[in-house]
Amino acid sequence: MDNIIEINDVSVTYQKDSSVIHAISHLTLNIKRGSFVAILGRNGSGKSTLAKLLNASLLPDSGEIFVDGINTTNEERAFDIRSKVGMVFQNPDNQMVATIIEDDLAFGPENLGIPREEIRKRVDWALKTVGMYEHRMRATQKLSGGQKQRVAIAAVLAMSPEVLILDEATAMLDPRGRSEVMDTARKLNKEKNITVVLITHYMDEAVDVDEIVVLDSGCIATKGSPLEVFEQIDIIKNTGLEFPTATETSLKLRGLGYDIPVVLTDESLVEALCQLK
Amino acid sequence: MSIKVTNLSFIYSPKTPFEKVALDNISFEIAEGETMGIIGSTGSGKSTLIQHLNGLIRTTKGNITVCDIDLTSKRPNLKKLRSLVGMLFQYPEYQLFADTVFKDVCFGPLNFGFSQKAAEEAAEEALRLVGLNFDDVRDRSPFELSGGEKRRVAIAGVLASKPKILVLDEPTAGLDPAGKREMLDLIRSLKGDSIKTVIMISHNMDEIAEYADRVLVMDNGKIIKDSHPRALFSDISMFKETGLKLPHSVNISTLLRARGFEIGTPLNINELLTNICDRMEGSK
Repeated sequence: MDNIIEINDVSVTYQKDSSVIHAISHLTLNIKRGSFVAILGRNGSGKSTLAKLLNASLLPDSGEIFVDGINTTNEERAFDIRSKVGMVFQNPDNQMVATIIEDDLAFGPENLGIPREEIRKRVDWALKTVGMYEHRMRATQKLSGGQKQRVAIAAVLAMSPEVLILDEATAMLDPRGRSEVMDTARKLNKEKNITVVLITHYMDEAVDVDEIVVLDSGCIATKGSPLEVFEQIDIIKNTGLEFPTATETSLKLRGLGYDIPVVLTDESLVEALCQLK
Repeated sequence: MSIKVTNLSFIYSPKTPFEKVALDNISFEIAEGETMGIIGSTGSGKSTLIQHLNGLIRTTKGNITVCDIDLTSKRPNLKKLRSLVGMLFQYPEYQLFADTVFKDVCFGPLNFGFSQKAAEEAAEEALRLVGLNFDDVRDRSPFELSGGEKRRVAIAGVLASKPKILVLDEPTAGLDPAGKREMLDLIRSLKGDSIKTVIMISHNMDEIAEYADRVLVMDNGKIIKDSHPRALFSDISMFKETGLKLPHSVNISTLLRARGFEIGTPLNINELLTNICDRMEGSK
């Protein structure tokens, strides 16, 4: 797999009162095309700043970022970058531009000057992909939170993106809405080979991703597979994260002398306990 | 400080094509000292219900009594009601407005008729209660604080009016794991001295299992369950239909039960661990 995103020694600083804050500090990271990456870290660790860097909403003070080979500082290519990297934010109500769902989806492609028939095709395809096609003529404000976020994802899809960034997109949803959004993201990743960057405070959502990146004070505290990351007990604690319940239970049982592996999910904990019995 | 709700119904936009039954003949009581969790999927009526409790939505059908205030009477004492029932909405940090933290927190008590001096004392006490360094934050703009700090200021703004009942709508939504933990510990620590009763809406079942001592489950405007969390989570048939999830500890115990490994219904990770260890020791 090649890299869809390359971040080379990037720093972002801003002024607060009289001191300089390093939102991102000498960060280097590659994201492979087609991978599903979770970014974890406490509030203020630089997660959202990083997301904004990835679609040229924010430019680095130093260092370089390449999206599919395009430098994000290349102003002439800013539109290309933003159609390659789509974002869905926390509050679904802040990102709806039209009153009818299919109009909302057409807004992006219309702005790119795409022919009408092609827009129709893209909108229908995007709505079918997120399972909202039968609702296409409904009013956006009449949807549930999970449905709104699926429409927001569909609006990103209508731009034919390479990368989908979910910036705490499940934070305001109920359990059902969260499952809807996560299932949609996984499906797009597996079936459409869209790279997904998931920013979240829910550890549960990060247990089956390809790679976890933990940010702390604008730097990478650790990265690796979910198991590699959640085995680093000190780093998880020091970066303000928590363990998935099954992981914490397995770690504590190991501490008590039980011979079970470190696990990530409820199902694998149960499996491990039954082996032991 | 008890609350009694009898046969409460509420319809949005009645007699129009947009008519929506939000609450459908609801009855329950909350005694002083309880921490009541309210769960249910989006649109089940949770927020509509709690907005009735301090008169933000006037009772149209049914009865509500909060302490000795009858909300169905012609002119209930709403000012007294609202000073008794402190309400913290979802994402309360969005309702901060003043140019300093201190002024923002004084706003509530001043409007409830506290003298300037009493309001300032109440504001200082409230800011200390929520764990902020009073001297550090008093003259700062609330907008330059972090998300967790902003939410604490918003809570202080509610506490400063000295409510007896605290109603919270998803108090931990959007916070990071450490922030969630701090918020729940704060709510727990507030209860006792001045706050007698806590009502908390949450989508996080782990939170509800650990912190509530009674749970109302809402679905389509009705209360479909009213019980202690252990009894509630012991009966898992309901969870599939309502789109709610089980807390992890309960999910693990349920999966274990299916494999013939009975450890009861643990409500948090410590109970889960203890029950697993007891069971392991027992089978040796």
